[in-house]
Amino acid sequence: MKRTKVLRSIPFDLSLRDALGERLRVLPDDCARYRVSGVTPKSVALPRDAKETALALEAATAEGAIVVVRGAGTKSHRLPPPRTVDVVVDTSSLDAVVEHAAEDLTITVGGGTPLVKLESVLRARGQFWPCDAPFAASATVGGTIASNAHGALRLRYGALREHVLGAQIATPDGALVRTGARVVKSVAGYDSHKLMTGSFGTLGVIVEATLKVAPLAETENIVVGRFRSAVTASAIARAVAASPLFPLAIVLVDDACARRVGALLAHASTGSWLLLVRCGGNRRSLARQVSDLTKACEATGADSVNVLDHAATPRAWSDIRELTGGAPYDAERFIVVKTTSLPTDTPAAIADSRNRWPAAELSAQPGSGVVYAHIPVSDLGQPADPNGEAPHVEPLTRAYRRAGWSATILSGPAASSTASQLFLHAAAPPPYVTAPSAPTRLFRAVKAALDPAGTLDPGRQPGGV
Amino acid sequence: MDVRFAAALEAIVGRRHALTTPQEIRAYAYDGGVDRSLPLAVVLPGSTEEVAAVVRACCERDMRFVPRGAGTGLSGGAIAAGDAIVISTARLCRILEIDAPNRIALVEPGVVNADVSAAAHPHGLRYVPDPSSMAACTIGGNIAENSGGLHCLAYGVTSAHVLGIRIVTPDGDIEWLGGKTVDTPGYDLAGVFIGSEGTLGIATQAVLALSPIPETVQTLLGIFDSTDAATAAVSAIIGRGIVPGALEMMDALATSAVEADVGAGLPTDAAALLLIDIEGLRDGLEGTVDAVASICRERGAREVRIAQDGPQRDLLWKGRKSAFGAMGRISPDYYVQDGVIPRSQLPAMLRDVAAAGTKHGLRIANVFHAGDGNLHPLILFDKQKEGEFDRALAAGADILQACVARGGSISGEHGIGLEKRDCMPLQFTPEDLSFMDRLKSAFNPDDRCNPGKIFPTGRRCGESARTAKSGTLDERTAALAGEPF
Repeated sequence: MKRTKVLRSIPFDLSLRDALGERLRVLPDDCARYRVSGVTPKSVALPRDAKETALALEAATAEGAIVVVRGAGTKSHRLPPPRTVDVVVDTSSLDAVVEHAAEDLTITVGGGTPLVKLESVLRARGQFWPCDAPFAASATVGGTIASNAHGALRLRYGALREHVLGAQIATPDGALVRTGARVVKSVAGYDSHKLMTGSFGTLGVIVEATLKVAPLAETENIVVGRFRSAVTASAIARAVAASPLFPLAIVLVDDACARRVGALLAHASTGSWLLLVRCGGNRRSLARQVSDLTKACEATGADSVNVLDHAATPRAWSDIRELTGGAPYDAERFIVVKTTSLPTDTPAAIADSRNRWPAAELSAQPGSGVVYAHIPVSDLGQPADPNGEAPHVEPLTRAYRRAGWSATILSGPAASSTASQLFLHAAAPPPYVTAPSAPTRLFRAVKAALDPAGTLDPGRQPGGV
Repeated sequence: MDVRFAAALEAIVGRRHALTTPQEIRAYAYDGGVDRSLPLAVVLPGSTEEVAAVVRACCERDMRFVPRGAGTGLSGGAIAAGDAIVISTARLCRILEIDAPNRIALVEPGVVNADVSAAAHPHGLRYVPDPSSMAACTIGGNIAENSGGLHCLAYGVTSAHVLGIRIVTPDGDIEWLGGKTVDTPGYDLAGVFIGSEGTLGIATQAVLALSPIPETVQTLLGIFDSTDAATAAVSAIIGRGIVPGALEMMDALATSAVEADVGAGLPTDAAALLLIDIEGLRDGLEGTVDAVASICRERGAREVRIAQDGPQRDLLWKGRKSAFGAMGRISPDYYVQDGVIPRSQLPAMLRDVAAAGTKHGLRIANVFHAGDGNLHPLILFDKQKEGEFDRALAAGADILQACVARGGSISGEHGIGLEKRDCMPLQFTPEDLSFMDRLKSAFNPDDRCNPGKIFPTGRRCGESARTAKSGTLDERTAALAGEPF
């Protein structure tokens, strides 16, 4: 994507100011608070509504400016850092609950709506958005969708994209387009809103989203089994996931992760793993689930099995959902790597992470094949030979490609050398993502079709898109 | 068709699998909808590589092509619009892998939907999406249409059950979108490919997610003397926080057709029936069944029957699944619509449907996914009677307009295809459509892959289907004159 004009200074030309007035901030102090992976933007736009968002994008595109979209900024530590940021578009003013059609199990909200606000509106009607994304205290709906940041509830409820029914999107050329519908089922036209999940604001800005919500279970428990072996715990997780017990979510955490959850403190033990199974239903169904799960854990040698009751479950789960690169892991002190594999490979992926990063705190969704490694930066040190490999650990890229696994650095300090150390133990430019195969040509074509000027945060998606 | 091109196709797929004579290709002028159009030729590749070679041959000759599965679609998606060849996936019909520990299946696109669940069954698993045509329709077509089904209320439509798709792009490359693992890095192209109606490429393999088979299932039949009471019960069930495995409704006209056809023992004097599956663990299921039954009675059900055993349950569902075909018992022809509305609008919407029937002087039967708010009005007509087909199309257009006016969508699962392409402006602005068109151009810049589908042509809603049937396509289709509809 060629850039015909590069912004070098502030203030911008009048169009962006005309579009936003005082909602365009250029003071250094304001800008410093909006750093994107360590890079300070030249300006910050705070549109009040969809139309202003579109105008800001149109003006930015006309000027050849580079825009990074931001909700609450909880995931703005992703790597690689941008080369430059002219404008951060802050969507946090787009926080209206447009329509909650409770009897239709849908809700339409502004893209900047905080998850806490969404969840409280839904809870009042006995409902929830089953995506249990991390950073629940501050993250926005738009940012959660754009980063595909969902948690372990996918086991029962499916991928995050299935819980986005439609959206209004501001495009880089200043149009406002709708995709999908405000009903639970629609196949009219392309599901462009699904393309927004995981696109990190590089194809358009989600100014409004219609979400598919679900009723809260009548009663819920978390079964906590303590195991000495992640292999055994993962095997149980797979068996349970394939059984008619069909729990809501299964999470496996090491003792360091467990100690970050108040409700699990009493159960954590050094060197042990906790298998957390969240189940729900009516009283009799739940009793059966808890009983079967307890037996399954005991039969395979669990050190202990405990049950968090209905009163304790919401609080405990709100902490557990953060163990996927969420709030406890300061991006300046931890690097978060997400690995996906077949569920049967989860134990091997866990072992690989443990071997590679001995001090990492590990959590996993063993029924879905996802592992999160929270690696203290202090644990990485410097590679012995900057041009070679660490002596006893095969480079991640090579090992993962061979295994058919994918890995992504979700967040970390901006210094790119850390990524080098993780992936290659070698010199830059490091990959931030590795995947067995990726349709990079199509990624580029989609980006070129929807953001032809390269306005929206170019070059940071997998494949340098 | 150009002889050299025909020879090129034969060289790729073998002579037996390149069909060019009128007798051979006649069946490919049809799908389950109302449009008709004969392709120039039909090829049946036997591998991903052969599909890619056929596509590249098409690119070299600037030939358009239409991917096709079993041809059970209802919106003209799998028939040629203008000069094009059909690429059939009928020979790509192998289940390559059932990986039970990882709950996935790797299949080719020509695999019949129901066969996936049958293969997974010994492992206690199933493939959830179950369109009524599941005994015939194929996975490739399901992916193209993002098919729904009876059990999508609780578990989501096709896109919720597909992890990865191997495709041949419209320029003949082979790529994987997604894969066997979740959250593959990069844009979620599988998410947008599913439901793109064969306009973004041809699926040649798919990784399907399998789900555990529920321990037990109970089927309830709620019998109502008014459709309003039945729809109120639907809202009340969902409003109570109960999401049944399936929640279907049939009106009196549909019931009478089904009874004439399969004799499922349904009461033909009721105004509306609700067919409800409650699935889950044995423990606690009774409580949910009782709650649903009480809600139905509170909302005025005159009777609630509970299927006593498997055969009884299967009979009830057989009645529902055969409803479209059963229309033949009460009408020579039917035209099915597929609009969606918010569930809470069901009572008013059913009055809109009835009004459309009265206005155009046609009977309309209703059998639909009530839990999803996905209507299937079956507009009954006789194409031998002057003007009835046009009136059916007009009634369909009225219904779609009402769906959009009530905050819904013009299609819940059948797709836009040829049939509803000129209804798209009801739901989408020119900017919305232009955005979709740009997305299409990223995959299919020359509009060679399934051309003429989804995007409006400038005609009025309700005109498309008729034009496809009787317009310029008619020269070749004339050979089909006199064929049963």
